[in-house]
Amino acid sequence: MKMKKNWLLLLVVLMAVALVFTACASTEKEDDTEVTTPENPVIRLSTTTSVNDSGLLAYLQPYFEEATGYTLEITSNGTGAAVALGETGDADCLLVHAKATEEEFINGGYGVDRIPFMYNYFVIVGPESDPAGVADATSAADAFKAIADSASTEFVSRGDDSGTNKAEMNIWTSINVNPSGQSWYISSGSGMGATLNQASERLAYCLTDKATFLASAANLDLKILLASSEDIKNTYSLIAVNPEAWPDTNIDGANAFIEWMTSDEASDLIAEYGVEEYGEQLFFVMDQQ
Amino acid sequence: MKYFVDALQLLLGNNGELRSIVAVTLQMSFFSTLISMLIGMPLGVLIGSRKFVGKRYLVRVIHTLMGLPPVVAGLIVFLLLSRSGPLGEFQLLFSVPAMVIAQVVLITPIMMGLTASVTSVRAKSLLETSRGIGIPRRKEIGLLLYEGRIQLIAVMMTGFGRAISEVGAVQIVGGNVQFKTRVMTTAIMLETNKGNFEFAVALGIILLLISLIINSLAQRLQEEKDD
Amino acid sequence: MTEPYKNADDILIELRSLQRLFHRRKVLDIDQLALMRGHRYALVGANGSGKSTLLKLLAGVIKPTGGEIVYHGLDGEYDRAYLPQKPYRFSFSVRQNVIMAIPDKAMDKQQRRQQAEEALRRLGIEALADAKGNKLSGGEGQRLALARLLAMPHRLLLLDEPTSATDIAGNELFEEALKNYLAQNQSTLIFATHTLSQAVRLADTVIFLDDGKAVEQGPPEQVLYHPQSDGGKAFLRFWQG
Ligand SMILES: Nc1ncnc2c1ncn2[C@@H]1O[C@H](COP(=O)(O)OP(=O)(O)OP(=O)(O)O)[C@@H](O)[C@H]1O
Ligand SMILES: [Mg+2]
Repeated sequence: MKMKKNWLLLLVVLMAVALVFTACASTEKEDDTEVTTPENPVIRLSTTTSVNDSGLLAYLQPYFEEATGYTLEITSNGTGAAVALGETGDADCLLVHAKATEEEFINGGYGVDRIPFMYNYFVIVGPESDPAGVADATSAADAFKAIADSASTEFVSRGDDSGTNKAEMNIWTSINVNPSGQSWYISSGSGMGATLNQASERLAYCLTDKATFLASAANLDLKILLASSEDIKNTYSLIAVNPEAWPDTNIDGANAFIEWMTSDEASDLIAEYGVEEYGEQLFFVMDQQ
Repeated sequence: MKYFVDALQLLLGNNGELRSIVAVTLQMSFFSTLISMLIGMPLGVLIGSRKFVGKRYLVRVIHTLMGLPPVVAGLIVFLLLSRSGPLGEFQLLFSVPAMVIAQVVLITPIMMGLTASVTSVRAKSLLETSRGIGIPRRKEIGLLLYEGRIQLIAVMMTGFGRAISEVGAVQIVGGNVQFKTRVMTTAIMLETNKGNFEFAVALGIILLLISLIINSLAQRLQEEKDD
Repeated sequence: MTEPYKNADDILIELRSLQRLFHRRKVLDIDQLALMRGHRYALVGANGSGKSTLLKLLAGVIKPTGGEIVYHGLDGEYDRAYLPQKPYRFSFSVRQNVIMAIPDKAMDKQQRRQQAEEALRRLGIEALADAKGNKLSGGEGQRLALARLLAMPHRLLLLDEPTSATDIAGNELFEEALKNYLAQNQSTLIFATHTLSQAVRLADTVIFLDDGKAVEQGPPEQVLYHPQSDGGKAFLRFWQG
C-alpha cells in the first residue's frame, strides 16, 4: 500500500514537471511571433546531415525567423534522400552541396534555379603519425594517391552517396583508382560523425567537412593533414522546389528564405559562424550578384 | 511489383554486395541467437523453476532489460569495445563479433524472461514428480528444457527475429562497413537515405522472405515434435 | 515416545512440532507423530485438511515452516519415492517414462528395459509402452505414474491419492501389485486417499487429519468405524462402509 502511494506521488510530480516545461515552451513561442506572420508561414527545408551537423542552420534559424516571421522545418538526410524529398514535393527548398545531382534535379524540372551561395573546403584528416605522408601532399589527389599506395593504411569512406562521398569519389576517379572492395578501403555507409568515429578507432584517413570535424575533434584521435586544396572545394547551393511540378509547395517561403540567406545580414552571420568556438571561419560567402 | 521483380533479379543475379549483406546478416543473427540461447535458456529455466530470495526483483530487472532500447545496448557495447574503452585492446569494434556481442546483450534477457515464464508453467509438477522418483538434480534443467522444447522453439524464433531485424545497435557497433558489417537493416537505412528506394525495397523483401522461411522451418519442427 | 507399545528401534520417521504455513495460514500443525518401519499408513481427511502437504513434507519436496522431520535410515537417493497428486508425465515414450525412474548404475540397459516393462505389465498398460507419456488418458497416466514408482525397490512409498483416476480394474491391479511390492521389499507405505474402503484394505493404521492436525490415529476399524473426534464423526457421516 505504501509502495503504491509513493509511486503515485512520483507520477504526479513527474507530470507536474512536464506540465511546467510545456507551459514554459509555449510562452516562449508567443514572445517570438511579433513580426507579421505570412500567409503560409512554414517552410520545409530539406538539407544534408553534414549541413545539419555543422550547426550552421540552428545558428541562423532564429535570426531568419525573427526577421521574416516564417518558421523553418528542417529535415536532414543523405544527399540522395534530401534531394528526393524535393522530387516528391515533400520539401519547399533544398540546401545541398553536390553539383551534378543538383543540376540533374533542375533539368528534371523539379527545381527553379540553383543558387550557389557559400563554400568551404573539405579536409583530409588522419592519425597524427601520418604513415602515408598526407601532410606533404599539395593537393587532395596527391594525398589520395599516397594513401592508395601505402599498403598499411586504411581510408574510411562515408559510402553513402552524400555530397562529401561524391566529392571523394571524384578524386579517386581523377587519379584512376577504384577503391571499392579493396582491403584498405572501409565503406562505412554512415553519416560524417559516425564515419569520423570509425576513422579514429581504426587510426585511418578520412575526407570530411571541416565543421563536423571541428565539432567532434576533441573526441577523435585525428588531425587535419590537408586543408583547402582547390580540388576539394565544397559549394553549397539553395534551390526552391518548382511550383510547376508541385503547386502545393511554399514557393513564397522558399524565395524569402533564399533572399534572406543571400542578404548582407546573413552573409555577416555566416562569416562569423565558428570563429568564436573554433577560432576560424567555417563557411565563406560567395561573391555574387 | 516492379520492386519485387528488381529484388528477384538482384537475388538471382550475381550481386556480390547483396550476397555479402545477406551472408553477414545470417551469420550475425545465427551466432547471436545461439549464444543468447546457451546463456539465456538454462538461466531462464533456473529462474522459472526455483524459488530463491530476491527472485521477484531479479525477474523485474530481466523484464526491464527485455525492453532495453537497442541503441542503449549499442552505445554501452561501443564504449566497452572502443579503443579507449576497457576492452579496446581486443580491437573488436566494427566487426561481426562486436555486433554479436551487442545482440547478445539485447536478446539474452528476452530468452531468459520468456524461458522463465514458459518453464514456470510446468516446473512445479515436473520437479515434484522427478524428485519423487529420485532423478538426480543435475538432470532437472535438461528435463525442463526438453519438456518445454516446443515453446522454446518459439522463444528461439523470437530471439532470431529480434536479431535479424535490429538496426540501432548493430549500426553503432558494426559501423555498417560494406562487405564486412553491413547487414540487411543497416543497408536498408543507408539505401533509403541515399534515395535508392528500389534496392531498399528489394532488401526488405529478402528480409521478409528469410523470416518466412525460418518461421516455416520452426513451425515444421514444432509440428513434428507435437504429432 | 508418545505411544509406549512401539519399539523405538522400529521408528522410521518422527515428526516434531511440524508446521507448514502458506501465506501466513497454518495448513499443517502436527505436534508429535511417530511412523513405524514396515507399517502401512492411510492419510484420511477432508479436502484441504493437509494430506498432500504432509506427504510433500515427508518427500522433501517442500520444507517445513517450523519443527522437524527426523528420518531413521532413509539416506539413500532412492529410499523415498513420492507420487504427487497430479503426477507429471514426460513427453517421451511410456516405457522411457518408467526407465528413467530406474537408476542406470543399478543395472544395464536391457535389464532396466525389462524391469520397466514388467512394471507396466503389472499395471495393465504394457500395450501402451510406445505411446507418448503426455498423450495418455487420465487413468492411463496414473497407472504410468504408479508403474514408475513400483519399477524400483524403495524403502518408503509416499502416494498421494494413487487411484483417484483409475477404473475398477486399475484399482485391482494396483492393489495387487502394491501388496506384492510391499511384501517383497519390506517397504513402508504412507498414502492419502478418499476411497475409504481402500484404506481398510491396504492400511494397518489410519491417520485422520482435521484442519492440519492429526486428530486420530489407529487401526482402520477403530478410526473409520468408531471415530472419537467431532471432526471425524462429521467427516464419516456420509460413509456407508
Ligand atoms: N502452494 C500452496 N499455496 C497456498 N496454499 C496452499 C498451497 N498448497 C496447499 N495449500 C493450502 O493448504 C491446504 C491444504 O492443502 P492440501 O493440498 O494439503 O490438502 P489435501 O488434504 O491434500 O486436500 P485434497 O483432498 O483436496 O487433496 C489447502 O487449504 C490448500 O489451499
Ligand atoms: Mg491432496
